[in-house]
Amino acid sequence: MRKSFLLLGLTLSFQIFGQTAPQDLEKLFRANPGLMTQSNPRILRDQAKKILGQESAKRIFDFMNGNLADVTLTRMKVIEFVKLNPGKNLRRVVVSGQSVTGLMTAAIAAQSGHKVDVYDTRMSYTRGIQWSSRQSVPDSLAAIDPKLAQDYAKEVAQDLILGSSSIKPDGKISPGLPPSFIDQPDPRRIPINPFDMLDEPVVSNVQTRKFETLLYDFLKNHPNVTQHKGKIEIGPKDPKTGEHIIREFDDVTPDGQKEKVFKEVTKRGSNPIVIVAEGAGSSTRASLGIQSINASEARLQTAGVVHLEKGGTIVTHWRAENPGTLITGSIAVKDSNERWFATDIDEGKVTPGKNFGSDPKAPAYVQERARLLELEFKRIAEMNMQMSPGSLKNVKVTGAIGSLPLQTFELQQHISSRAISGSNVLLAGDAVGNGHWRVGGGMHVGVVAHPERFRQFLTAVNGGMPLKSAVLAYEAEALSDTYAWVRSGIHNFYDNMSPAVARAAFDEAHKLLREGKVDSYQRALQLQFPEGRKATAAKKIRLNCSEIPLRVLGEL
Amino acid sequence: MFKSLISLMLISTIFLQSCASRLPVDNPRTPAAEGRIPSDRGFLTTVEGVMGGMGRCQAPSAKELASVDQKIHRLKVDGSVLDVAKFGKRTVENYLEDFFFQEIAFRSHSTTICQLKFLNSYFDNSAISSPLNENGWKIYSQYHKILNQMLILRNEKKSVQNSIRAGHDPMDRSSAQAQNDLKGARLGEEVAGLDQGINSIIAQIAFGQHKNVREALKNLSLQDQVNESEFISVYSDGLQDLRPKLEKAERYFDKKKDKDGFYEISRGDKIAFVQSGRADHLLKEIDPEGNKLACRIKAQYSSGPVTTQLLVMLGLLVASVATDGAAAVLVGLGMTASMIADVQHQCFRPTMNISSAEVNSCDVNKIAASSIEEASMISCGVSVAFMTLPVLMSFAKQVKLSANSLKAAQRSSSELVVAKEAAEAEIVVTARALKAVDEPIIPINISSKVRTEVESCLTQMPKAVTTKLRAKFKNQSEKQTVKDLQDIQDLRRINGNCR
Repeated sequence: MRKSFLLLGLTLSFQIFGQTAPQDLEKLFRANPGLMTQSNPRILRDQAKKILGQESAKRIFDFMNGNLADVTLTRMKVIEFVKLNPGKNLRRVVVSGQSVTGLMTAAIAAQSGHKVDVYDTRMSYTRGIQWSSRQSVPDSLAAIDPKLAQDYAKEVAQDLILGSSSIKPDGKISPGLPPSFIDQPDPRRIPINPFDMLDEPVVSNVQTRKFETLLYDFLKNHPNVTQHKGKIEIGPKDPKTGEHIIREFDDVTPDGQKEKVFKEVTKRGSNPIVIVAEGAGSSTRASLGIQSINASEARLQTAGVVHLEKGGTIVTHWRAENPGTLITGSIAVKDSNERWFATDIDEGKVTPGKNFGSDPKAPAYVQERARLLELEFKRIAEMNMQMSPGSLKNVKVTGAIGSLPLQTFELQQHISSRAISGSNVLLAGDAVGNGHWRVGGGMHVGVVAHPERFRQFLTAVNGGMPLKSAVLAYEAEALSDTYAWVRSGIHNFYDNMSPAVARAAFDEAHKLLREGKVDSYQRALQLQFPEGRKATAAKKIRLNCSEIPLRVLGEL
Repeated sequence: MFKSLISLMLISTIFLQSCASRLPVDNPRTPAAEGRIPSDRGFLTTVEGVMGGMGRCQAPSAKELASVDQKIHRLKVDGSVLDVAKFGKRTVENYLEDFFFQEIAFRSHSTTICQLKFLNSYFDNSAISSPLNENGWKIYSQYHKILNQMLILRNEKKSVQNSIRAGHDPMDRSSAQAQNDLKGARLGEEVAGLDQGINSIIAQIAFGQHKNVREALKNLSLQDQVNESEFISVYSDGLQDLRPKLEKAERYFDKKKDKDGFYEISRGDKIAFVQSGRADHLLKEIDPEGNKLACRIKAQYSSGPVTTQLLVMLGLLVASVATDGAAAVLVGLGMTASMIADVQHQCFRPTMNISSAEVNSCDVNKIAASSIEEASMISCGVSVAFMTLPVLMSFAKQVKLSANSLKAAQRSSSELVVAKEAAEAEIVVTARALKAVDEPIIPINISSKVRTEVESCLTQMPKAVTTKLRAKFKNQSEKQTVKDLQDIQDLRRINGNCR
């Protein structure tokens, strides 16, 4: 009855745009459900050409290039109709990790008609971390569901109404990014190439907690999704298929008992496709023997929120590219009484004096370090907000996560040695590598780039490509994306490094790693930048034998 | 000629001794051993027959057994004299050895119990701790300076040895490498010799033979100046650390002792008794000439430091005084050997060697008085030690010269002539080194893993470059030098091998 009603509605709607375009789309989606979250007109045309023929392909292409509102409405109606009954026996998808990447990939799979099980041990979000966001984020959400993109623009992202500024070591503020606004989400223009994605302007900032909650709620109400408070274990590979056997555990609380009991869930259907969307320290990745390779030096950071008594006026967003700027950034919303900051911390300024001993775990030491950290954090916040020193008095300061106190953490970029395991395990987001820095690597790789690759993977698999080939293609693209994002932010690990110099050195490091001549990007960069963080130019690394000692002597 | 003869004798002795120590000797109480050792021939006579030239120990006899039995008749358990018949069918030698080690085990056990009681009193009773501390300080203060110098020297030599070891290239078959290997091995022996000397001195202080006390006092001796309160604090801490060890030892002996009062003594126990010096006192008591039971016991169980290191010390003395001429060597050797041997004997016996009678009563006050007396006057003998000191000082100077020359030798290893005899090689090395050859490019204190590979590359560089590198490494921190070496190695890895 419901199906008939929907079909009637669709048919009526389609009359407006053309005799057969909606039917073409429906046929196309049924033939390859992996295309349901795909909005790129050229990709849809090319796929339609193979499946439905030239004429249908042209109709779909013209339709997709039509009015955005019409395209969105029609597409979603077809998706709603097909996703619960794709007409094909689709592989179940298991997602480990329910942070931004896990949520996005789970949503794509679910909207593509796959039954999805999502595993995480947490069911709520506390991270106050904020990311910069490019236009591709709402566009990518719109490809899943236009309402998601609308809610994102309305409730999650904040326009950079006042633009951004940067702060120099002497405390002077210089202009950074101009004011910018989120454009109307359009899933048809999602950049496929990561470098194109990087060329997009930053349009907003995003609070991670709000973003995660938005997607979490979307999955919670999705008919194809089951969320588990539990975890998965990836077992050995089946020698015949190359697929890992997956064990899934639910965290159940039988009869109201408070004790956590992990109970093995029986395998439902065939062996699933698994997305490991865990953090940079993924234990699942480690259990698969996939190594995480250092891609940069580490730098000590802190992030937190200053809660003001009165709303401020400066909306600051990260530093500019100009050399000589202090690595700090703050994000605030107009009329808000909160300022969120992330900044480098000089270890020497937060190390307690000799009177507090040398045991970093001693209560007195910990307390003093926390006090010094808050003082330093406030000092930088004052500079950033153009306030006179010492004026941030009656304010509350909290750390980046929930109401936890300020903490320092080492920020370092990593890339994994592999992005897949066997023929049914895919790594995504930080599990492949983290490109965190002001370019928003973590946000965009996890929310747009890798989910886009996963979308392509589903298209390939559901279109008949052998699983083994599809995962290999996914790996090549996912690693390439991560590399591009890490590379784009590599200069931020040096005080006064030009992006061009740092990127050239990183490319050289990549080459050396491929040749097996160094163990990490970090080591190759150290050899090119002997001055470390203070370096401004790269030293030559391809040398003949007699030149090597001269390098050490500083004569080359 | 004399040098060659002495060197040959030393080498032969050490070789034979090490061979003997490697041959399997089981506990004679085990049935398997009974079948293995002929009843009429002792172990060493068997070895003698195989090896030849090992006849310095007299074969065991019934007469010797009777003599020993007479001397250790005090061995009593629960008031009853041990019945020889309890040992069953054994050879004379087995009887002898078993008698001996049962007595040693008993004395050690008793001593441990009493020492523990004594130590507990030390911490509870100032009437015991004060005089012991005072006396300890009296002895220590006399020797602090020499200990300080010997320890510095020992650490310096150890450092040189480590650097040689770090620079060892197993693929390098050159004569220079062989020479360096030889230097490393000899330095190791010299360090062992110095350790022996240092231990001998510290052992004069009550409980100074025990590792905890000894190591605490060694650390203290690295200070230029030490006052009485510092000494007492460290000494007291050392004794405090010793307490749990003695408690453990007591439990060990309790476990070893059966209901009849016999001790289950393994070969490992025997080696430990002999090498720790616990056996020395009793051996000297029952075999003053040292050519019967003492000779055989040491040959079988003292493969460790005591005898070998004494020989090493003598060997070093030969090398160090060689430049003064053969006559001086002989005179020096003769005098020093006897003195060192005396120090060895006196100091490498357990603190407070108390008789079984004393153990039974274990009067702490009485033992304290005797131990103080022992420590101050008898044990190692102040007079003997003082006689030894100038020799040790002289020895130390020579060793220092040797260490310096080795450093230089390492720098100019390619110019060295490999000498057949160690002593001659030392002279050659010293002579060449005194001509102030180039310093090594990489400072000798750098023991980075990459050193060997990088050094071989650097030696191929033009002299102007190596001179600059040498200066850079010399004037910068060790950490920076290690970083530079790592950079060179990685750059070589990236660009291909220099060779």
